[in-house]
Amino acid sequence: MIKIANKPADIAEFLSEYPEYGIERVIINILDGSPHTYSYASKERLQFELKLRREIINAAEALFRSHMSFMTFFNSKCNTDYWIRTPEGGFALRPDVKPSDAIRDIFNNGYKYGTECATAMMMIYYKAMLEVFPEEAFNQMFRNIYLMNWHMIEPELREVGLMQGAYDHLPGDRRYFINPDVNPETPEWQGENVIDLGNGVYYGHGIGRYLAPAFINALNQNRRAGADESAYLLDSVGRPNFDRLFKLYQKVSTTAISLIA
Amino acid sequence: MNNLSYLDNLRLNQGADRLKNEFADLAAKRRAVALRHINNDKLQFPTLYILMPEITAFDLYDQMIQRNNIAIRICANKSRDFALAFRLERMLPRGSENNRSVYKWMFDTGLYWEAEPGMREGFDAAIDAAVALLIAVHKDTSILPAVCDLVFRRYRSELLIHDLAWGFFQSYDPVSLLLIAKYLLSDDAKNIELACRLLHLTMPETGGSANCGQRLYEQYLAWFNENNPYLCFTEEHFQQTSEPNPLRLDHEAKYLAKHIAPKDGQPLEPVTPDETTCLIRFRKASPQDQELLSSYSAKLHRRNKGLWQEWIGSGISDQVETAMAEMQEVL
Repeated sequence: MIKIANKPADIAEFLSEYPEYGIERVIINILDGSPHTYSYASKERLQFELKLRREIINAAEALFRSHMSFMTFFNSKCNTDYWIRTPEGGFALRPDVKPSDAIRDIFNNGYKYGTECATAMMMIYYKAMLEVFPEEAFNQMFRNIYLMNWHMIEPELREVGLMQGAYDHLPGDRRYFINPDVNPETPEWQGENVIDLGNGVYYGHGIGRYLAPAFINALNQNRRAGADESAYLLDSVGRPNFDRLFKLYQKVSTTAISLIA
Repeated sequence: MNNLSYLDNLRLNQGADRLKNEFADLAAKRRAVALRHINNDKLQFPTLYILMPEITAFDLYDQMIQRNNIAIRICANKSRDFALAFRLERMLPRGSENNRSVYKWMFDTGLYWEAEPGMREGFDAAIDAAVALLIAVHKDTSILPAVCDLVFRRYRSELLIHDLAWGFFQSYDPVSLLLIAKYLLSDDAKNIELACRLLHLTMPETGGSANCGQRLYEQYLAWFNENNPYLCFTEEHFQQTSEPNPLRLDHEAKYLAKHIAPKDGQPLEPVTPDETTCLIRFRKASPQDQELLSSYSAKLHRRNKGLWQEWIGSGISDQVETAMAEMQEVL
């Protein structure tokens, strides 16, 4: 069930604002059909979450098409026009480039980049933020991007690094396939971070864009000899703090409007 | 005369470039001598690692001993030279019992070598693989103290620790966490910072002064000693989350004073029907009461098993009442 400003939402009216086969409708239907009550302070707050979730999915699809290769941190690579590869294999934003240009470059020149699945998730979140927030605001917020799995995430996005229980799984959530019996020689297969694209499809960097069994099969093929436990999808999810990001969004949008005026 | 092999002497006294040149010269002119040196049983892993391009250039694999080919197969996998890794895998007998001694040789002779940038990453990756194989497959816990020190050493140098830390936790031995906890006593703030991250503790705001670390260490030790039989590993690691918590305290096991296996949280002895009845009652209590009951139960069980039997057989509200009264007295 969805409540907006403490009142049940008019779902039919809300659905009509989105395309018939749009992912927003899928999300609204999950929220509305849930036994849990989802409360939003305003309609705009829910719209913001739907927009950001949509952009997370778009960014995941774009990264899938980008030709970025899968590499462990020991072999990672990046476009040094925009990033500095650190000794631990992460990518630090060059101080002389715009964060927005550096993030776009990953998606435009994916073949120049190689990293593992968790860092790919962070690339997706930054790209989604870039699509939702005005570019100038994005560049103000993320002046010190460091891309290395869930390590040193910018404060605005820190919650995406944490996994938490959820009443429902929603498109745009980060999920994790865990592989408890992974071959110790290849710990990069200990699990796969994925974005839920909706309708049972997930994107995980290095494996691709598939239904859950494909991820489980890929992980199971990288288990130790004599393994008896299959890989599986954890129930927990990683989500940005939509409330805090919405407040930031309102603030920067107001500033932008007042500047234009 | 020292105990080093000829090639190790060359590396340590005259550097990697001289070693490579001399070995290439030997392999070209006196192949059998080159092979004798590279197959020397005293050879150290860093020397083999440095010479990998020359070994490939002169295609010495067929005449090298198994130790070298097993180690190079791991290195080839890590540097994504899958063709070489596949070739070596086919040459090696399946399930070779020698593997453990090879991984141990890689670790023991490579532990303190600090390769130059460019060479370091592949070498560290091979060491991490050897560590994980020793701990996870061969259950070799004797290396845990040295692995723990290596994790901290790398962290202080801002190098990658994620795979090494993952391998360390593959021992599923809660006591191994005490090796990490000792770093809370360090004078170096970076050591305290990493110990806090690995143990899932909040880093002291003072930046980890000596007193702070001492207090944290004592608190952690007290918590660990109270809960050790009821702790199990979560499988959370840096690939999955920014704040992995390696251990979970099983409040139900603590309430029943029943020891569990740290790897999967299963009770070491079967749960009896009486215990199941107790658990059904326990699960109806609020999370706060559950915490209180499990804490009191473990303490009472240690102090007086007869009294504990009596207490755990009483109704849950009576249990809470007794626990609250006695725990407040303690406080």
